[in-house]
Amino acid sequence: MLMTIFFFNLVLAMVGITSIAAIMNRTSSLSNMDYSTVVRVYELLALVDGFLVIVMMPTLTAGGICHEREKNTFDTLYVSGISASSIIMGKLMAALSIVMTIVVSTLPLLSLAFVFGGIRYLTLIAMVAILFVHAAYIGSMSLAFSAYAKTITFSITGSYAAIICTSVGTVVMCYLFNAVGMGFRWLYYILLFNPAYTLVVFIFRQVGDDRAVSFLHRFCGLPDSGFVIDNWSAVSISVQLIVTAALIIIAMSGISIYPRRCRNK
Amino acid sequence: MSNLIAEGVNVSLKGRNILKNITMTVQPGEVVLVSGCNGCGKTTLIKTLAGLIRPKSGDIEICGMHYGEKGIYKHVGYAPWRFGVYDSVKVFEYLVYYAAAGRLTGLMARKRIEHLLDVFEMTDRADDDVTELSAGMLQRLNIIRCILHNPEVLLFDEPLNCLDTAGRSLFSRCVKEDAQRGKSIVISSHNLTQMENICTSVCFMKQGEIVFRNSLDHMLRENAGKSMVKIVLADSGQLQDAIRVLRPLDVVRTLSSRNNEILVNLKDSEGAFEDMLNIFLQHNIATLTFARENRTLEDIFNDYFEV
Repeated sequence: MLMTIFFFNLVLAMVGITSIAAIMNRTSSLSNMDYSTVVRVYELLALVDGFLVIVMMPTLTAGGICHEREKNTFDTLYVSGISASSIIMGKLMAALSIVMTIVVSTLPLLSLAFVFGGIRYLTLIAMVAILFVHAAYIGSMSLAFSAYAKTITFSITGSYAAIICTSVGTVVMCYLFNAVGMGFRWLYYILLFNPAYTLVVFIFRQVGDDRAVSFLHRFCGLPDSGFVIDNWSAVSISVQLIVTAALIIIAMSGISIYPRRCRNK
Repeated sequence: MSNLIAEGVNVSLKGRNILKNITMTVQPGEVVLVSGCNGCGKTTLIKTLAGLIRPKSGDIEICGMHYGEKGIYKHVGYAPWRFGVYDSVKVFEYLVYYAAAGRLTGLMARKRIEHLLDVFEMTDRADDDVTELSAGMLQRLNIIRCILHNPEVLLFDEPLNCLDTAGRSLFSRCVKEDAQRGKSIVISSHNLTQMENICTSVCFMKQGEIVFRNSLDHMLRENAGKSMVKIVLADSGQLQDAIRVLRPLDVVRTLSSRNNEILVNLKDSEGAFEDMLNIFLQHNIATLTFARENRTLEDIFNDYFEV
């Protein structure tokens, strides 16, 4: 765990310091400073953090239940008295604690943006919060696969396939629909389920880059304005939280052998 | 009130009927041995009673509760025949984890774990990694984990696997003490000789059904001295003659010999013992011993399943 934190921060530090060095070099050669490039450092580091969450969570959760079954520890765990909800939430919280520990450990590096200003501490806290929601969303997806998969290979493959479909597939689908002029405006709102898209929009809004947000929306066929568009992050987070809850319930059903019943008095 | 009641339990897995209309009750203090040939459904029965397999039909009641109700598992202890352990966990930590799962925490958990480790002679292994334990030690750990939270119903699947003589003795003592405390215990085992000293009733299974159930005392009394005859020949040179004389007899089911000893398993038949003795006298085969032998549980099992 410590080595993972160290190496991840090392990579992030190299990216951050290289970016800052490039900015300083450009400033000294041009004798003027473009402060907007500083926030690009924050954007880059925040997106790397987001990428970490998307890649790491399935690794930590996809084997949660099926690995127990393969190792023959599931039966004794189930009969021990721990409820299905505790098992699922325990696996999810364990994975979240690892990923969020790594994310929080990168905050000092993200704070490099404070050197030149433009980013507030609340920005970082909001970024961590949204990463937590995305981590829970992706983790619950993987746990749902794990609860039903017979082997860990199938679970990991299924989890990554689902995440790729959600994160990349939805963007590709919306772009293609938009390119060929397909109707059904509501179809483009499938991007509300895309954690990567939501994170990018959120980060761009945080740094005030509304032009980039508009470009993204137009690229994917979304309208320029509207309640959902104007409050994209909040609406998307709400949708993803609802889906997370549903996936946790699905995962619990996958491991429950008997339906819950009330005691006959 | 029975601690364990199963009524009309049918279990189907992958389209095959594994358990058919299983009905059994286990009273407090009763130790039921479930035995049968390979593939008869013993493990499936134990897993179904432990709530790990949901029956297609039928009902299982544990201490007045049904599976699905909150808190039922605190009344059930299950020791599977095959189980895994977590990596990088010490024996003591492993037991603390399962004690906590069974709502046993703090000083009480610690004392209970220390007591059971002492009972099963594993105190010096408390700080060892569970993955470093031998198969026999793992089986002792399996048993400790099963009884750790003091459940009323104990389900053991082949508990004597990998246990040495000392381990078996410890298990036997532990089961008897728990039975005296009013627990209901179901043990699935092929080791009938050892189980004869532990169980109070016996259940034979065949092709997913319980085909025979009786108290052990009653079974052994019914079969005492019946149908087994031990012959010790005065002259070992007459062994072949004796076998030649015995083998064609209709009343002889099986025959085994070693040195000058012959063990004859007779079919239930009036006067078989006397007929055999007369034949020996007619053929002048001298014997030192010609006596009925008490039948063991294994003999009864072999007879029942015609092994």
